[in-house]
Amino acid sequence: MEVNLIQQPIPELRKPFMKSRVRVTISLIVFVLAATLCASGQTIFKDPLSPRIASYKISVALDAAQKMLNGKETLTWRNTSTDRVGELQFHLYFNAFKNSESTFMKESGGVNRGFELAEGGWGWVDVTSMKTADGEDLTGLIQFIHPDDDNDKDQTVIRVPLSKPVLPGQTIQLDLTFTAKLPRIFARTGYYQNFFMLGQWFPKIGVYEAAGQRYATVGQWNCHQFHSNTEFYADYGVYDVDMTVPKEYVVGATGLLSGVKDNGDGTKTVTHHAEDVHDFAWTASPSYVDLSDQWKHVKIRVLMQPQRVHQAVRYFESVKVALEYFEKHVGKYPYPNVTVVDPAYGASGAGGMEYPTLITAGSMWGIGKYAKFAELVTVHEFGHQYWYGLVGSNEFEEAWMDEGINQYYETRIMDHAYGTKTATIEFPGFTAGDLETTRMGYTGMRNPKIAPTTTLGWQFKQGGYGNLTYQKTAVFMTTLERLIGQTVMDTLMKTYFERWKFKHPSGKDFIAVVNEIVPKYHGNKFGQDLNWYFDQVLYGTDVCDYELSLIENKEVRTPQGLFDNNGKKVSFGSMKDSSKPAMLYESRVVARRTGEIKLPTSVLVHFDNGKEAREPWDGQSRWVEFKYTRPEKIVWATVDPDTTLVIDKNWNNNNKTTESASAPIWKYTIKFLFWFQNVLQLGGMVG
Amino acid sequence: MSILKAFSSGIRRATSEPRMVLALYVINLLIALPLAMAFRAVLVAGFGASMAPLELMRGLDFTVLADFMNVHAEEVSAVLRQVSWAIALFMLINSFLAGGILTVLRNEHDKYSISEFFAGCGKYFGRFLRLFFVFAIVLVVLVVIMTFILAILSKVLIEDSTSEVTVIVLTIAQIKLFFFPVMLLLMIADYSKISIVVNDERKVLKAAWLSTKFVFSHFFRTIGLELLMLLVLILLFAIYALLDLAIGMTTDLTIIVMLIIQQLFMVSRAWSKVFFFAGEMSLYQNLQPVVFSTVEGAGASSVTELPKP
Repeated sequence: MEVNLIQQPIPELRKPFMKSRVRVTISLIVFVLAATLCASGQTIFKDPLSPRIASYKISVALDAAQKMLNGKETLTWRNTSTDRVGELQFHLYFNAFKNSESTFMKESGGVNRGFELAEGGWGWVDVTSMKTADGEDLTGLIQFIHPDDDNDKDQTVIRVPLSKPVLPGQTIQLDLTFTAKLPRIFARTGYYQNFFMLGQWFPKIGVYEAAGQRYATVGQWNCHQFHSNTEFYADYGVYDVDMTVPKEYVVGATGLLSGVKDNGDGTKTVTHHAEDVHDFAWTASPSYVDLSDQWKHVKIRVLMQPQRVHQAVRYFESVKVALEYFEKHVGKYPYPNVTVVDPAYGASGAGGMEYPTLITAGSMWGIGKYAKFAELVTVHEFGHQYWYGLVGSNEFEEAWMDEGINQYYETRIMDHAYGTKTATIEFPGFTAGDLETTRMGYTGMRNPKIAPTTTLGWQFKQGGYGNLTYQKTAVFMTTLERLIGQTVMDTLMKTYFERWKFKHPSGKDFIAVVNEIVPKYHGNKFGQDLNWYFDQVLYGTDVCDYELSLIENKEVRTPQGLFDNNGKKVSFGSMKDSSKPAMLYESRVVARRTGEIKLPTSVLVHFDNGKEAREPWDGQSRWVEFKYTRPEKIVWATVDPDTTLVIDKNWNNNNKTTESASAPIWKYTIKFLFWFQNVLQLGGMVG
Repeated sequence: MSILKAFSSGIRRATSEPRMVLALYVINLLIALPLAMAFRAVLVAGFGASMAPLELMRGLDFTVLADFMNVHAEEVSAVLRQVSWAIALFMLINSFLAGGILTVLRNEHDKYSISEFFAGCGKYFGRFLRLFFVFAIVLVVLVVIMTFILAILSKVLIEDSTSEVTVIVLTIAQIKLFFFPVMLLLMIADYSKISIVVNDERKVLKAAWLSTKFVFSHFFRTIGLELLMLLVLILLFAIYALLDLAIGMTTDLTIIVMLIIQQLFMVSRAWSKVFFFAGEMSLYQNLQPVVFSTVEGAGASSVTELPKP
């Protein structure tokens, strides 16, 4: 293969984002070096980082006019189980968009994340041939199956029986050809005019789970249909993909560029090589402005829409922020690059998605830093490089392990980098942090008891998938962090990451790490394990609400009558001040648990002389009372004073004061009055 | 007559009627106050003795607000639902008050008296109410037509556009395109009221038609004046916004200061209502063709003062 290591020309527009030309040069050198290494047949990683179970060599041609793909795929699959595997199962994700009868379309009603599949924008994929390496034709044996429901119209999963089973440790090689029609941008994939985002575009083998792996009791394929809520699950491997596109197109893809060949017919073939990843996505458009920057060993490439080039700096900054944070608090990002795709205007449905070393974000012309959605989506999608990409949990079945844990890191990173009160919105007079908005996503649910967070992705029939898998998980992870401390939390997450990267953990594997690490640092403070915690917040549907329900100060009655004083009977009032009993108050505070979730907390009581009492409470009983007889009165008290229990659904009722807090009430009454008067005046213009 | 003359005449006339301006302000306040107090009651009941509202002193705290709305959204909605009724009521009241305002403005040399004001209110209320319904219908029709036109424009210009900037610019242009005819209509409604008062016109449709002709025959002057007067309103808003930004409402004292500033601003809004009518009346009286009409008195007719040539 003739290889031209041609980097896309650097437009003038990139200048504002480079601190200096030196960075551009370094970045180019690193990139060209990496590309050269690959082109010369060397690998990215000296030793494999993953088991490399499913590897692909794909040649695909994009027909930009017809919005079609024609591909050849060679799959090498290794049986790492002890079973004789007699059939293979594949995902044909694009068939979710084939017609209204697919499971995806039935579940979604044709709307995904607020984006509707445009009329006539159907997409599909056909496997036109499938042969083993020794020439056995399996095409006629392909059967559509629907393991998750009884929808026999769904064509997103196929099974292929083998004449000879794949023995333990054995490898099978299959040659497939396929044709795909791209959907008009929907569910983060497809085309819009000359913008192409190709995710889940090729026939992809499922995961064979051996007995004992995750929840499997016997060896079986884990190959779910494409559902409206669910994402993906696949084995790690090596990808070599040739993408033939019109010559003027800029291509971005998973892995490293290893070659560009001019085909002399108005097309070019761009080759990418990726190792130890479990998916391959790519994008192509003639409009992209190709920008790059470097962070330590990672080349950051941003494929930007021309009109939004001024926003690219935000992508670079947020990717760097995320890289820095993850490296410090979780573990090293092993890949040499990451690409951020800014979807075209009109193709926003392609935004906010993660693929190995390639993420799609989303910005908008004219949106300033007062709304940090570009940063937020970038940090979120980059976070998936860890929780999905590196730690390969099953997104179909346990979405909380990728989306939820990732959402937790999103809040940590965003609030750390952009402020706990300003990370999402920063308008004058109205701001919001990321944890704040995330918490509201859960606490604002009308029915947070609708389902446990562990519900299989496609079984959130009554809604709540996003709130319970993303937000609730982030909220209970933050609560856990505040209970055990951030240092211990970081230790356990580092342990979890190191132990499970390039593997497929289940929820119980995560909890096992928690139960291993927390007692090491806290002994039995939280019991022998934290199963009680996860039973409530993860597997249960109960809600948490603690409330400060009463503050009472009663003056101890002043003694009345005559009292002996130095042999004389005197009335209380005529005693010298020094001998007068001090004024005392009998005070009490009552805190209540109005929710069902029981968590350890404390009550902070503040007295009028500035003294404070912190009362621990195990949070088990329905209520607790603290009594004091002291010369000072209680001014205020608060349950959970450090706002440890982020999962508490109402923090406003956590405290009470005996002093007036009417000024803010008046403030907002006055504001309401003023704006209402203005609205009336406006209406009066019509009258 | 130049726009500037009408403009300065409007300022002079509106400023010379402080008692009327004050009366208009008080009416606005009296309608707004009950709902504001209902809103306060929701806040008081919702927060109870909680310290959470103290967080709101610095600004709108997202968490406090979110937790409050999670529990008390229904009560807040109940208050907000009343807003539309209050607006409807205020529209009717404005139809009533407009007669008084214009009667006072017409009689430039008379001193403002409550009796004259309310006599004018009562005299023209029926006609203005009819006019209100006429223009309400026209407004609805206009909105429907504009929505239809803009939907077509959107389809043609925006739907398949790949240029985000073009789309945003076109959308803003469309919004402006939408509001311009609405502004024009409201302006015509004002001139209709003026026409009814100045000419004692009883046929509201005729008044509306003549005013439409008036506006279009003096298009740039009427629009120019309207925009100039709108500029005053924008200036008032800008001054308020700057003061709000500079002072804030973070202490007891600044809350009181801002209350005073806000209410002064509302007085200026009431003033601007008179100012708009006064400016428009001045322009109308000086540009309309000489019309002889009679004003019905108590059993007698008299010739109205002729507009200046």
